[in-house]
Amino acid sequence: MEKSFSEFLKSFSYVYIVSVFVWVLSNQSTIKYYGINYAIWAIVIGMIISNTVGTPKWAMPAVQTEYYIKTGLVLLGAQILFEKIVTIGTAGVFVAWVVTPTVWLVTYWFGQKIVKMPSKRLNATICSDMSVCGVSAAIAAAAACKAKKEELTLAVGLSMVFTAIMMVIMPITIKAFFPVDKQLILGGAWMGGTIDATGAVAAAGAFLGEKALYVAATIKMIQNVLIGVIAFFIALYFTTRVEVEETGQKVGVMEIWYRFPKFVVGFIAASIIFSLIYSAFNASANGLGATMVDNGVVKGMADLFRGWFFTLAFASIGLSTNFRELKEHFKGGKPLILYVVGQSFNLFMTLLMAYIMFYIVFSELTATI
Amino acid sequence: MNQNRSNNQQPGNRSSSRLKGWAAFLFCLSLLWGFTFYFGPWLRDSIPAAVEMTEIARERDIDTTAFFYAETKESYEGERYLREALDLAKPKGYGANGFFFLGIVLCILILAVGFHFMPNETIPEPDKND
Repeated sequence: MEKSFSEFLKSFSYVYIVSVFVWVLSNQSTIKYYGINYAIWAIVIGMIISNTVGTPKWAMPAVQTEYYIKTGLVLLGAQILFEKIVTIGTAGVFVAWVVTPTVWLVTYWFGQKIVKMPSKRLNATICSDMSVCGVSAAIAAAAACKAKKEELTLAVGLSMVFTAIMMVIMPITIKAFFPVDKQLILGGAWMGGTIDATGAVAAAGAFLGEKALYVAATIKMIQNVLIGVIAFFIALYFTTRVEVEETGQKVGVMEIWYRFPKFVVGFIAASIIFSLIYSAFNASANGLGATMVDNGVVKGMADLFRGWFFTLAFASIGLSTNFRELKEHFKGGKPLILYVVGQSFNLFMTLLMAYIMFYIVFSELTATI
Repeated sequence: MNQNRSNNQQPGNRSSSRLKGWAAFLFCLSLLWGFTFYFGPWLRDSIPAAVEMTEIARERDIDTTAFFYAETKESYEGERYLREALDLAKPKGYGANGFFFLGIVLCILILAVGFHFMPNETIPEPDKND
């Protein structure tokens, strides 16, 4: 960046003020219970500004979407702890770690072959937010495949709309159609594996009861840990296959490394390092890992800064997005079709796997919960 | 962007388009205000399940806007509850056993097979004049 520090400070103040406004707005008590988080508010407020009065040119040096996203993602990596996936045993791993990649791949294939999505990057970003865990997975996937900001905006918007709908409809459906003895565990696992955002999963789980809440939140947590694996897979696929095809040139190992998004390495390294620290603490005294990492300074710092970096990122996306550009990506409603078909497949697969795992293969585990 | 567009205009047009911009900005903000404080609550109140959901979230202090597990205390409560319940009984399927690792291996295998068979061809960009 060839701008002076004072110029950057001036422009950053602008983006920061927009972000503070968004933060206050998203925490307003009436708004908070709609389940619409700061990412959407930041995009909406940013887009209102940029498409009406216009984002001032002097503010543009601080509209650094990529920088904020990547920093936020590395901080996210520090809280992706592999030991968490043991929490609910093998049943949880099969529901969260076997169904998710299957749904991702089938939906991606469907998007390319049947829906004929014009952008592979948009396809991958939607597949990730729909099958893995909403906004956080969309951010990681979009950064890993170098998607356009409009593509990320679209994916996040779709995820938010369907999260709000599913958060209300799923617990009602479970109460109405599931046998009473299966509502809490099976229903909880189903919602945990399919509703995109953790907060919405918790609210929907609480609607059914305490056990459903705990099972749903835990399944979602295990799925959250998968973000690193999926981001690595997407980065590898786009670097070695898509970009090679786009440029029409075979590339060597060094070129692949050069093109590979390095933040993914930082993201995974942070995850591995903090997973090892967490496990080492737990090995020395039971529960010490939770005290030091989950409740200690790591959580305090990571939560705070990640939240701010993502708010700055989404505000920057909004401040630099044109309504018309966004509309172009939605042409023919293809992203909506992709999301609906993928989510329907996800609902079917997750329910089937949860039933097989919790009621046929590991019924003893289910009885213990 | 509006800013760039207005730079190429005459001073009179520029101030009128700036005024239009501010009017549109205030209109959008008032729409947002209306959605938040009138339409949103009305929509919620007309769906009984949504009212119940909001009440539960308020009573339990659930942050429904959280999008990552670390942002909700319920994830930690759930984890503690399940660990305590399962640690005591140690039922079949709990802990890092063979089946557990099979699940992880399957995940990697699915991704590896998928990587091999993922579609390669790019869909041509549609003609903008269509």
